Amino acid sequence: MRGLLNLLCRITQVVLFACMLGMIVIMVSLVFTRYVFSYSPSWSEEVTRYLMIWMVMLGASTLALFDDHITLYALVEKLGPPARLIQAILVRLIVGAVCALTAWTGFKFAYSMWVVIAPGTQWPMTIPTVSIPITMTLISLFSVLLVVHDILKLLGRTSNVLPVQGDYMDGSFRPIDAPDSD
Amino acid sequence: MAIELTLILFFGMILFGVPIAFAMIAISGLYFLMGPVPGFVELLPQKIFEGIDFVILTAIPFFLLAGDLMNRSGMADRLMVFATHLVGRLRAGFAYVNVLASLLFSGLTGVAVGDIAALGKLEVVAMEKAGYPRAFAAAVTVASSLVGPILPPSGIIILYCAIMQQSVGAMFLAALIPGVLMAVADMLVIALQAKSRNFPKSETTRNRRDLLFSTKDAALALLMPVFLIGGIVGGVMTPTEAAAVSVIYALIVSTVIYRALSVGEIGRIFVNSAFEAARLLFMIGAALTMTWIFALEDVAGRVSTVFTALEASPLIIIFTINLMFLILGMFIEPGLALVLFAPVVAPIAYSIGVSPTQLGVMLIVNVTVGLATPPIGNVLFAMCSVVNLRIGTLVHELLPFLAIKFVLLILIGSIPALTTAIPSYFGFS
Repeated sequence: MRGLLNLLCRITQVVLFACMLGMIVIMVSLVFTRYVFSYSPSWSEEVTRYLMIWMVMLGASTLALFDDHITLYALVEKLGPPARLIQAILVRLIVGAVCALTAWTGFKFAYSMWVVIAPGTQWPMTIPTVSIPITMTLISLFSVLLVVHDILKLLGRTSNVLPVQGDYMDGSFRPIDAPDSD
Repeated sequence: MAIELTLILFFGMILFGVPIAFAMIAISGLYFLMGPVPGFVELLPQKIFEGIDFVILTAIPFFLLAGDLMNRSGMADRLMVFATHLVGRLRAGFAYVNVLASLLFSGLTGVAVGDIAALGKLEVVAMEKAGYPRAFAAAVTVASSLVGPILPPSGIIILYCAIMQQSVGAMFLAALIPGVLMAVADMLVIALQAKSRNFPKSETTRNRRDLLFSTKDAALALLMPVFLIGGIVGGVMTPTEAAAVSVIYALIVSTVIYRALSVGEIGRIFVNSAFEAARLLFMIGAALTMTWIFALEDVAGRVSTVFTALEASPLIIIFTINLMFLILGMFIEPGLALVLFAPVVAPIAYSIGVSPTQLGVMLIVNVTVGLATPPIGNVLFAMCSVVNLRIGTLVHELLPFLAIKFVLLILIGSIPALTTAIPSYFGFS
């Protein structure tokens, strides 16, 4: 399991890098082509938006795996370790349920967008919109995994399936003494 | 489900520790499932998609990336040296250096916590070594870091422009005077305490060669916001293109001029900035599900009705809006406070003659000051963890800096020229 999650994180890293690079290249070349060739490709803005959407959604799924979305920790920090674990389990159950619902409705939405064609690229709008249900599915699965991880921790057992956040990104939104995902 | 109950549940979930983005989607889902048309819940993914499907928002990852590249190339240290050469020899010189360095650094990063991360420890340690109390050093650092989100390039300004459909160029220009005034206000608080608390003068030696080199370094940092604003206001580039060009500029400075970063490090910085952008923009996308509920419930109309019924004077309305966003800034992420509640207060603010740029800057300064206002302020926690300080001790030293910022907030709300003079000069209506 840990190997699979590490592979997923590594793939996300590569995709995020490619999206960011692609966005920069397109935007900078747009300035160049406009002033040198008096030409602005009609697809450039759309592709940039779609790259950003994929970057944001895939990034959000990995952040969920590391329990690193923007959260208010002021009250959570005052809980003792067992209460924190129970709170974490409840939060993950809420997140998992919400994402499962959004994944289900998201796939229906993305499927319905197959017939809607983007004006610049002439691509079906499924290409950017399917990023939402894919992300939500991943977050749902990660939530289940984290719940199992927390329950094991609550029972005094350790599980070693989660990747190390520091291997994939620097820094974290979590305060130093907030509950960690590993 | 009534809107009041929706809001209570939302804040309850946030306090319980549900990540804010998921709390918003959960509450929106619940609102629709319990409402008259449960089928609306199927539109949630569409709303999340629409929330981030703005080309202007691509400027945010670009600004984060450019700032991180400049920071990791050692620009923060170089700006400190330059600031020391300029004001270090005055009484309380290191405190002024701290404020000036943050002002210069704000041109590279659009986030207050970014300033704390880059300069925080360095500034506090330097001031403590020079004989300042640690709490005062930390308070100066926190207060001065609040300039970061105000001055361009500012992610929060981009966000405001995307949701309120304002000109990025006009907003960047409108924020210049309030941003500089915030730094001047901090310096005033330092000056008022310098003699009575006998703060030391720095023993910095300065020769012409050092000054020349540090000026060159600072110029490289200061050119970035100049390119940005010049490019946008001059009509040469769109804000998104200007943000992308600023990344190229930062890459050239960090690799060709300073030779500070390897290819591997650059790749890592790219990915980090992508994750940071994802953290913020995913929440913004989720916020659109709630703003949709606010629109359905006509929350803006209800707020206007309340103010009309109270026959409140314009000054009271401005004061109330200031207070509301200050409190919101203490509890929730500044960008989120704007996305959710700026459209709610905009109609009433416009009706009493507040211009869109004035309102924008006022709200942004409010939520930013909220970041450092007790009891929750994120920046307070970031600082305390960086320099190992009790929050109460820091807050005690921070109070004069916050008090003067509250005065500044009232001035921004009541003197339109502070935010409209520069945009008007450049032809923005």
